[in-house]
Amino acid sequence: MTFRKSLAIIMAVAMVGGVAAGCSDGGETASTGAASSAAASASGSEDNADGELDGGGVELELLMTKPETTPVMEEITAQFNEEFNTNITVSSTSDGATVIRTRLSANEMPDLMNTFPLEDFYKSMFADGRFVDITNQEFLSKVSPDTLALSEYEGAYYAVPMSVSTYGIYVNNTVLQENGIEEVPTTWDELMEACETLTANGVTAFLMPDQDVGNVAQRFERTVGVINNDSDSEFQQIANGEMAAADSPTLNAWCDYNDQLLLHCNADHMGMDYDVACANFSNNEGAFMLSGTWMLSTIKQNNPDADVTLIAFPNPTGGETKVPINMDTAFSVGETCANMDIGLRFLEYMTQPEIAQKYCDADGNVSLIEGVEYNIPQHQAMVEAVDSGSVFVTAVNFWPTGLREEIRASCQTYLQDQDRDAFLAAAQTAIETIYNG
Amino acid sequence: MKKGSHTRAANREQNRTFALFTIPGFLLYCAFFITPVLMGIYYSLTDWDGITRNYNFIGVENYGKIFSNKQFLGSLLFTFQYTFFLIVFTIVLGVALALLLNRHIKGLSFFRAMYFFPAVLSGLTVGLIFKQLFYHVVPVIGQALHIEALSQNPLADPVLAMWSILFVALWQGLPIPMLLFLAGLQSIPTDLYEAAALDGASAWQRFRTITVPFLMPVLSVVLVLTLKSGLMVFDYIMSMTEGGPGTATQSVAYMIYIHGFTQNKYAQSIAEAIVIGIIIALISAVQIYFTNRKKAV
Amino acid sequence: MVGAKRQSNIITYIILILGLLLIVIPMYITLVTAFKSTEQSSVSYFTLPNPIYLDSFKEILSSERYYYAFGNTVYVTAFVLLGNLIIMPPMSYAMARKMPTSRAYRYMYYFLLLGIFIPFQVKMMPLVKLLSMLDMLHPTGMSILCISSSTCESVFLLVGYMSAIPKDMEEAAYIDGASTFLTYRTIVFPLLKPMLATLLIRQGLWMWNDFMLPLVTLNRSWKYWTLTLFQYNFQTDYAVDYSMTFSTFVMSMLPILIFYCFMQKHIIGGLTTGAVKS
Repeated sequence: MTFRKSLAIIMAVAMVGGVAAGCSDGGETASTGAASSAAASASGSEDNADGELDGGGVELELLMTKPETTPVMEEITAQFNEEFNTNITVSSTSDGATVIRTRLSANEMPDLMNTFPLEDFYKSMFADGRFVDITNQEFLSKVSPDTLALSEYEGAYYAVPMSVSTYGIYVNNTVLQENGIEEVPTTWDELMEACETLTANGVTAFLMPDQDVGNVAQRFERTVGVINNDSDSEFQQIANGEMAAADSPTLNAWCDYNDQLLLHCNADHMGMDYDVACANFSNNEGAFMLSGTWMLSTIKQNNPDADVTLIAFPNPTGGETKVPINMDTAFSVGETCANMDIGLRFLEYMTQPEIAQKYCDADGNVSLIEGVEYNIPQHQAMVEAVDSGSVFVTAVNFWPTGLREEIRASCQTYLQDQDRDAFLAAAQTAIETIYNG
Repeated sequence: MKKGSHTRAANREQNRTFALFTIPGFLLYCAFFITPVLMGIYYSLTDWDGITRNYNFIGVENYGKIFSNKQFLGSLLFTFQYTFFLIVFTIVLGVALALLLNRHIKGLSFFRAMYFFPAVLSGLTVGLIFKQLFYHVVPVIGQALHIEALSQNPLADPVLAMWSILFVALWQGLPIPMLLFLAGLQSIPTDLYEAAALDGASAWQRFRTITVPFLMPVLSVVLVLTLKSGLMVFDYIMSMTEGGPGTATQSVAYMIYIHGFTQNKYAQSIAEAIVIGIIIALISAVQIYFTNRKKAV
Repeated sequence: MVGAKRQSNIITYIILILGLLLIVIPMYITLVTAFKSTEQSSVSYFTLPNPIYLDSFKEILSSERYYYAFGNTVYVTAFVLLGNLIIMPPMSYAMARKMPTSRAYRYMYYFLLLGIFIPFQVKMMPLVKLLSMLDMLHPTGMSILCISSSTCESVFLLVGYMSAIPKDMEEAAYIDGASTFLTYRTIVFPLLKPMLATLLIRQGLWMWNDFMLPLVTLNRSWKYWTLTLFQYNFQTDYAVDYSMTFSTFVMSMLPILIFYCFMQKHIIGGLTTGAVKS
């Protein structure tokens, strides 16, 4: 083959590819155009009885940034597709933030997606009108009202919340029983007492995966919230110069409790990552581990017979103990959704008790949909906390974006060397950098 | 006269063909490489957070922030240190392995095949495997040999963490330089060595006067490629330490990622990337200049 | 003399075998982890799988997605290699020969060289925007993009290599009246083979293993996924499914390993024959 010929072929291939792609684009734009006119009439259509709505085979994309829930979502969408004559496909990714950013910059947002309505990242998309306002949709009434109110943004709703994750201490009951500890500790002093017993018996009380800086950051953020539900105001004062980080009661309390835990944790905590810690915990090599509801599925994978429960992290200052919660799964309709009626109907569908139940059973987080039974015995204490309202929304939703990432390296260093002055100085810089831009 | 016109025609023909050779690649490069880079440079002059539709043009403000940022300088220092050692070890070990694999021993092709193998894996995969090995294996060896420093996960130690990452980078990155050096060695006519041996030259003298000059062209290629991979190290950091412990292993590429993708400072992170690009270009220019001069001598 | 040679051979073997151990241990871990359930791995990390756990492999092999991902990866890799093979060597040839006399070519070369030093982050988001405008967010589009991005490195390496090749043979061909294209095909191209082999190997491995670019350009449907995207879907924010992850490692390495075993002679041969002569 001559060079010129091969070049021509390459060019031809490239062009055909381009043309073929161009065609499909034309089709998509047309349908998007049709959809936006449908959008106008969409808000009134939620009263449609089941079956009245016919999607006419419309193709929609549902983006899930929680790949572990893809199987159940595929099942649910298949059911939905059959019922409403639609063709919703699920795409999933394990790196949601990167994918969504590039999709945004390319104006290629999915028709439907799961969002985290409390996170700054999603809030700026709400502010930017990337999602449909669902404030007047009837299905919102199926969400437990207290928690629903949390997902409000500037007086409107853009996402229907399905579940919350809660955070606390996972307790390995087997290890406690082996060491003669009959009662699961509920206060900080009881917890410390249990730790001392365990340490005296040569058993690791706390498993701390301190090599995993993301985990360190999360622990910092959740427990700082337990110490002071309104840590944001205190940090604000530090940033304003009204208080020095060195005098911050919250930051000092964080250091204090970690000093105590470090006496009772695994010796190789600086080298241990989250996966290993979780495996060890599941196999009865430690009594306690700080984590959230999402860890249960991993524990079961590591050891199906593990006997664990999730309890509240007792406030180490002796103050009131509240459980940090975070919005986990919520669904939103993209502003460019190809068919608004179907998009909104899908959200409504997800809030139907039997569908929500199906999702909840697979997801494992505490469901917010009324009528869903939460059948996870390991998390009963958490359900009680959510029901009784002794919860607070975790700090990351109030802190300015990036604070957790800015401060996490110093937290890790503190866990390594317990140099409090250095930590507080670094925290001062980090807080000033982030709060004061 | 006739010959002259023939040459002119041939020259024309050659110019035309050369232009045809160059144009497709050049156009592709401009369309899909330079265009997005220019767009990126434009974003670096704005306050775009990477999410919202609207942003403001703010001029060079993002660039001003960079050098007052302690993190940036710390990352730069780590990255330079890492790159320096990566280059030194790549060259020394690459040449050494190439020399070993150039010997006439039994099982040569088996060894050559096995030694190439690590290059086949992806960086993230290798990182994940070694992260586990560092946790599970190194402390066992360290404790058995009573080496204090190695009796814990080396990734947990601010100093050893860099060396651990370096080890992994070499584990995976050596095969290709090694093959390049091997190719260089095979291009050396054996009679040169024989003649030198007859002249009574020692092994070291033969290495210095025959082997090294023949390896020079390969060396400059290896240098640039290693320099680039060292200064842009990201995969290993991401999968093994996430910049930790503390900020001990925060490379510039990782810092750019953190700023742009977790802290919503997209425009600033691009400005950082551009500054780093310029620094790399300057270093490379100096280095290419020197290796070219050496070649000329 | 013979004794000394044997001694140094023994030392060579010892060093090579030690190195081999370093190479083999991580491989061993990958393999045994792939054949264990997560539960088994969490109890004992190093031991051989007992019993051998095949569910992960069954799951992968029964998943349509694996075959799509495999097909896409092969397609993308082949496309990029072919594009490189056709575009880069003639381009480098033209540049290497014209640069000494033509300022235009010299500037073009420097312009291309600049590209080597531009970090990927600078162009990542604009790139996706551009591809989206051209409707190229699919494997073919990504491949064209990768060919374009590889221009700088390929040209840099090939031009550098070519300047070390003496021009006598080409000139002889021209004097015999051969056209430029014929000269390129019959004389220059064969001389470039070793460097071209290096380039294509690097490029091929890069395409096969790249994560970031497929992640940002091919996320619209799993039908576009490459093997790396398939792999990393088993890692979430909170947990890595070790059994599945390592099984997919093995399943995505396997094709390239088989390819390597068959082509080993050609790959290493290609690199080491007709090497630089200056």
